[in-house]
Amino acid sequence: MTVTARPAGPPEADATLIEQSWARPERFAAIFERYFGQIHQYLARRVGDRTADDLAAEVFVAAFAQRQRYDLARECARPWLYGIATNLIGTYRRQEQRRYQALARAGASAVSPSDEDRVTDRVSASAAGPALAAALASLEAGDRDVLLLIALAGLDYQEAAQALGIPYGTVCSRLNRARRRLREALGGANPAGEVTEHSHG
Amino acid sequence: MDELEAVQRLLAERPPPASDVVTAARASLEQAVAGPAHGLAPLHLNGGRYVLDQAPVPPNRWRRWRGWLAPAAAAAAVAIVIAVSLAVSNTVGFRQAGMPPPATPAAFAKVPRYFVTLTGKALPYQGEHAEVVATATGAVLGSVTVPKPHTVFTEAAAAGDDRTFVLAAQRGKAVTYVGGRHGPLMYYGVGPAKFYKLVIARSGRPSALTALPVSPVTGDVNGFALSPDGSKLAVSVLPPIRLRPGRPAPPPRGSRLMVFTLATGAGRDWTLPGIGWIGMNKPNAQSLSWAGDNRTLLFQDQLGTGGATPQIRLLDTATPGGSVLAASRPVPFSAKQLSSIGGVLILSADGTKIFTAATTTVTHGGITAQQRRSLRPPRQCPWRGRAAHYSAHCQKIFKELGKRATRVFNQERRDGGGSLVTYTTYRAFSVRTGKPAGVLGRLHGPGDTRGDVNWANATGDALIADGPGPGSTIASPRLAFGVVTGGSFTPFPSQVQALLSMGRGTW
Repeated sequence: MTVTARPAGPPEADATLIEQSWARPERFAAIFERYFGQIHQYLARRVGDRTADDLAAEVFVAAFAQRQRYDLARECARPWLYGIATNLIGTYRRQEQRRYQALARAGASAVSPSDEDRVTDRVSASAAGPALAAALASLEAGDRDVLLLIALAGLDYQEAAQALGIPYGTVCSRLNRARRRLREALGGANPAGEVTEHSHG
Repeated sequence: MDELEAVQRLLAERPPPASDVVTAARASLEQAVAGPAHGLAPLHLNGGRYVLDQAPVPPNRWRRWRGWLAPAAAAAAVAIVIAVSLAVSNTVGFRQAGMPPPATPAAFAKVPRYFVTLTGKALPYQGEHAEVVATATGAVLGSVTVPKPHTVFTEAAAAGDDRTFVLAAQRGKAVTYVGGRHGPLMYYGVGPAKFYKLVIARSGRPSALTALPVSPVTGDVNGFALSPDGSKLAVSVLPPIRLRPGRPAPPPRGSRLMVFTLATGAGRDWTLPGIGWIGMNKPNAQSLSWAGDNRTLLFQDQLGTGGATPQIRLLDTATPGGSVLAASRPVPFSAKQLSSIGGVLILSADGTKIFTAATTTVTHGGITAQQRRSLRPPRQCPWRGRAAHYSAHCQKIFKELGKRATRVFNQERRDGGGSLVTYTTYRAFSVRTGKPAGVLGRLHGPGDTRGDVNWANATGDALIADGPGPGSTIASPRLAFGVVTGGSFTPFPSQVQALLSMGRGTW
């Protein structure tokens, strides 16, 4: 009695798994397995690795607790999970701000070698890094959430709206405002401090 | 490069989470899956040690039941092995002061000799293999692999003879697996469930599987229980869910409860009318439990959209079928009691009591918030696990204190006497009144770790149970599995702990 395990068709939709988890909570494990890595990555980029370790776990515990309120018309749970993650970051605003401030200082190698994220190398690669970090820190929280959901999580505008529970138009206006603030803070310079190459045919 | 790309570069990608981080997160989720905290009164501390209180034992005829493991432990496997190994070498920490050391062989002699656990790359509590394990030692005595064309075993149930088991097999659906021990894919059962009988020989070795003459069951099996005499199999099923893109899912309807006579394959069928489903909001088919008469069946149901109204009922399986509500009677639990006994429920052999574990977590300390340079006393925000800092109550306090608020997060002390302690009470309830009818045992320890009763003997003086393990902390909850008898908790050997922490056991 042996069997060769192989995929038996396309993976189940997130909504299906979540609804199944209403009565069979262990089905929620599949949601965890699918998205934990992504959510952790997003959180680590925003609040640092150590905090992300705890927060990412809390995202899924919170999601599990809220699973019966999930809108089953939405097949993909990514926006929902990123929304929960973003809300949880809200309690770590100070930590996030400190992170940006550290990044802003890092242009002068001000970050201690013990800093868990060792941002210095990364930021020093970009001359505009400190200014960009300072600009990020200066954004309104809501604007920053939209910007980072799109820039880091790769959500589209509609998904960002779902994640944050705000209208599509609000996403557009917040993103525009955030981008404008970044550009203004950078004096209109290329924020990466690099020359963008254009190909000419 | 635009602003977004610059931000992406500034907040550069991080390495994937370490495996221990994934494991700990999975443990947190599985703790949540294990159910809500229960509302029992706080018990005493004993220096934060791991304590089992002696308790009166309710009378109860002999019975044996399939077990369920509280699903915390898949994640804490390695840790629990270490922790329990230490505990076994120092059992003083598990006993009430003044009690004699438990005789380990005697404790283990009161419980079934064998259990079945499902292993292999599958969702928790399912597996590609069914392993027969010696309860007292953890020795794997034999293994059977799921028969083709199935991919995974999805359920297991035990009769009362400690030798007869029934397994459900289904084909597997693949899901991706992040950082897991089984590689990039794992499986869970879908499609019709076929049932097989597994008999353990006197040597402890499993026989070959025998296909039962029961038609495969379609739907989502969420309840699975073999009668004590091994003659009947109870199965509860959720109807398949059909989702249409862009349209809301229909409310759950048509949940069924079936009882098959294994000798003939004949079955009876009851349906839950209206919106709702049969089966508690718990994993692993633990919502069904037989009485010793092989006729009365305890089941749990959730009525209304989202399962708003839970019930615990007793079905007379001699009725011809039809409405499961008409053929059953509710156990008169109050709403408050129902909220506190969400775990595994085991019906006593005489059908008069329900054995279960109730867990509560108690705050010791919390979050202190105070305005800087203010002479006002600090505000205390009770600790509610790791979620405390974003609870509405805490947020309100922080908002009132304004931007100058400082927060002091109390740390759990190493001796366990700090912020959070979990109290588990193994309790009997009266089926007639729904009220508590005795305490089978108590266990408490540091951290947030819920417990369950997995098996009970005739008189209730021997349980297989799990509860807060030694070394449990808020950040790293650990379960320990063992035998509760004579006022002591005797942990299973480390090999058993490891197996049970990787999947559930069925006794």
